[in-house]
Amino acid sequence: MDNEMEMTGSGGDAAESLIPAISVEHLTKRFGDLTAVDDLTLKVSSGRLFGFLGPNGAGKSTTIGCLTGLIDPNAGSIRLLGETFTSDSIELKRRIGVMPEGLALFDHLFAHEFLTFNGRMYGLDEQTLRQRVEELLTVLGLANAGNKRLSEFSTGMRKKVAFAAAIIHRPEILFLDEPFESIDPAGVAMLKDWLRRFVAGGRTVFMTTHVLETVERLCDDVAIIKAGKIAWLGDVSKLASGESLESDGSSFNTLESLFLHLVGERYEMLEWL
Amino acid sequence: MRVFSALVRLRYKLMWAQVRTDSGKIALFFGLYLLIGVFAIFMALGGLGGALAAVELGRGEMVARLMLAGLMMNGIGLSLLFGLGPSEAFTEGSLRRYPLDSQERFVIRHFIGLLDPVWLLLIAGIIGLVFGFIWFGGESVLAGIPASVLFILANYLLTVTLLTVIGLLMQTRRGATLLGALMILLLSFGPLAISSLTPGTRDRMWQVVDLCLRILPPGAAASMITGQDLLKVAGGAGLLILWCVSMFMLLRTIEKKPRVSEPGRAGAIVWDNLYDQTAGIFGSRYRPMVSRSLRYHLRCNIIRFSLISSPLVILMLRYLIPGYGEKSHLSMSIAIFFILSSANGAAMMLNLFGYDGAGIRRFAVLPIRFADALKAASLASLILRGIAFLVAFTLWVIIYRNRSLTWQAVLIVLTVSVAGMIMFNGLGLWVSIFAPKRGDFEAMWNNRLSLGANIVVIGGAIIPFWVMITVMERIQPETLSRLWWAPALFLVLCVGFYGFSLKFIDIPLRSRKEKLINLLSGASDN
Ligand SMILES: Nc1ncnc2c1ncn2[C@@H]1O[C@H](COP(=O)(O)OP(=O)(O)OP(=O)(O)O)[C@@H](O)[C@H]1O
Ligand SMILES: [Mg+2]
Repeated sequence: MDNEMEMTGSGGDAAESLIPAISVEHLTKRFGDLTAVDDLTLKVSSGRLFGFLGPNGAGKSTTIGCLTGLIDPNAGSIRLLGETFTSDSIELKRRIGVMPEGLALFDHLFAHEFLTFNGRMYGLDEQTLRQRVEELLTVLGLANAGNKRLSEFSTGMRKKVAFAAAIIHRPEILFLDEPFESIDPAGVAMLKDWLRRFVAGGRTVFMTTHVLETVERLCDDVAIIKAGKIAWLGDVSKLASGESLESDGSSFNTLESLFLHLVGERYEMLEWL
Repeated sequence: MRVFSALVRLRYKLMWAQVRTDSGKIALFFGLYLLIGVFAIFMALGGLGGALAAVELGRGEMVARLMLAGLMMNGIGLSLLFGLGPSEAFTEGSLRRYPLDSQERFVIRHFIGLLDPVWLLLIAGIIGLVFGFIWFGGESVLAGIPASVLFILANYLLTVTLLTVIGLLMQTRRGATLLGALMILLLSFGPLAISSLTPGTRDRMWQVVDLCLRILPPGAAASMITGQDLLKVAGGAGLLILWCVSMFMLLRTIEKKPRVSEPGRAGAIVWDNLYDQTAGIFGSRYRPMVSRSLRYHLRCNIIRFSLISSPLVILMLRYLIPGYGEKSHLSMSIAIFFILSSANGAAMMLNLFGYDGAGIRRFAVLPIRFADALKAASLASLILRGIAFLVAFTLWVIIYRNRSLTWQAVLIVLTVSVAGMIMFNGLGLWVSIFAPKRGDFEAMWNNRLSLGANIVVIGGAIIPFWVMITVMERIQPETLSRLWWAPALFLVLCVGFYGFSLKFIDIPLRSRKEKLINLLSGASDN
């Protein structure tokens, strides 16, 4: 059971014994005249760490928004864990964890209040909840920040709190929008290990990031989108075994070279700077 | 200067952008401006009339002093209780992005604050008064115009300084407690003390009040406007300038002070506190949300202040209503309590998502219906408003216990208040999704209600007065007491409306969800 992921329509006769964790078909989201997500179709098998890449404004956060109930798409269908997902799917939302763009914290709560609130919203029993809140705060190094409100946290600390809130109920799919940006190296190393363990248990991660080295070493599958459309889709874990990535008949040894090839490697110098 | 005019334009562009979103709102925008214009004319005419009366009575200076004092009190009261005061269009933080030094930022923030439409109403009243004196009393234009400019400035600076000081106090738990205790003392002992004075001491007290007024901006402006000799005019002008300068300095010093944030409770986590227990009455589905909402909103300066200060309205009964007497006690109490039910905690009730910031996005992701978050906040606001109401009601019973009140009268007041509270909570649901506004959690004196919310609050204040004055005043208190069942009907109606709103708010909220999220969690500055 290696790469289950594929574009639908391109020969769907492969073994469908495993229900994909995420299945998106013809997803479209428009903001006025702008089509932020344009007829996007993709599948993510369970147990995979899926990296969703693309330049700024490509539509990554918008896609995650659609997949988590934050945004209602204009067209297309979403299936999570084999069930149809809309922004009203309360039962499904219980089974996913989200770290949305902008983190969506309540700035004037203390960290433990925020985590407790989230845990209770996901229906954790009190004993588990208390145990997990205390443990998360301790391992994330936030236990000593108990006298500060979230508004007074540093950017990285806020991100850690949002991460903790996303995983506190042990979801089956984890959606993370730029989880590592601005977290310190030790924190990143720990979170990466957590994510590996998370997917090893058969659960799924869908994340966006701009750090390509992380993606190369962490992710199994990658989609690169550009202007709301998929520009490349494939397995990057084979880079580790020395294989290269193919696109338009050419091959690339690093994800970065592929990314630059797809998104445009031209860049300008500012004469006046 | 170029930056300055660009910012003034930006301020009005932002206001325009806020209402431009759909065409119906454009009509509302213009309608409201027209209304404000009409009000401004009224206020100006009121000022003119006051001046005319003063000239005919031959006691120009005193009447001018009292009228100006009234306008000043109105400005402070409106800002404190309803949040209609001067608005800071740009926050210090947002202005820091521009190449301006701190002096320029200060001037821009406050000058643009002075240009706020609601504040313009007060200015219209002042100008009306001054021109009345010039026309009817033949006072000098040369003194009148600078007097009004200086008075407006002094009045503005005084109000803003006062609000900033209160805001500073509200930031810490100790300050808030102090302020609350002060108010309760004032409320419970002030009226008692005044009513127990002998006529002699009352006269002397009046003299003290008059003396104070002479030193305050209204007195200074009055002596400048009506002054017969140069000395008096110059004295008034000097005093006003002194006020402006000292308030300016004070405000600058206060604003430079760093914000103190509430010292938190480190150490042991309390898992099941009073908030959680209180929220428990709404069942396990709403418990975490209601408890969060209670906790969160009680940390917000504006909401805390609104809740603590709203019982002040009870004082209005006696001191702010002309011709208040035994006969109108019941009808005026009804009107005041109804107003209280619209104004108390209005910042939260009418803008349920307004202070959640980016947190609003979380409601869309959590395993709940989006409307549940709105409902939970509405229930939390009902609890907080209910507590504030109970305080006010207890005060009312204590302060006016020697008025012969029948049980029917007490019942009427109680029923009308509860009904009003429930009705406005229902309205709050609709206003929160159709006229939301991004609130500033810390600021005290921003104009913190949206146009729609202002309409509800102002309507909630004007309509009951109008009803009480035009209808109820013609009915004897005894007859009124016999109609005690009528408010009960009203209550049933209001409960029905709230229930209906809770049930059907889903439908419009569904189509407004994204707009709300963009507006309230977005990176916009205004
Ligand atoms: N609420 C909105 N209203 C209007 N346009 C929007 C909105 N949200 C996103 N967009 C637009 O949709 C496009 C995609 O935005 P999105 O946030 O999904 O990009 P992204 O891939 O996450 O970018 P980044 O890497 O910078 O986070 C952008 O052009 C953006 O301007
Ligand atoms: Mg993004």
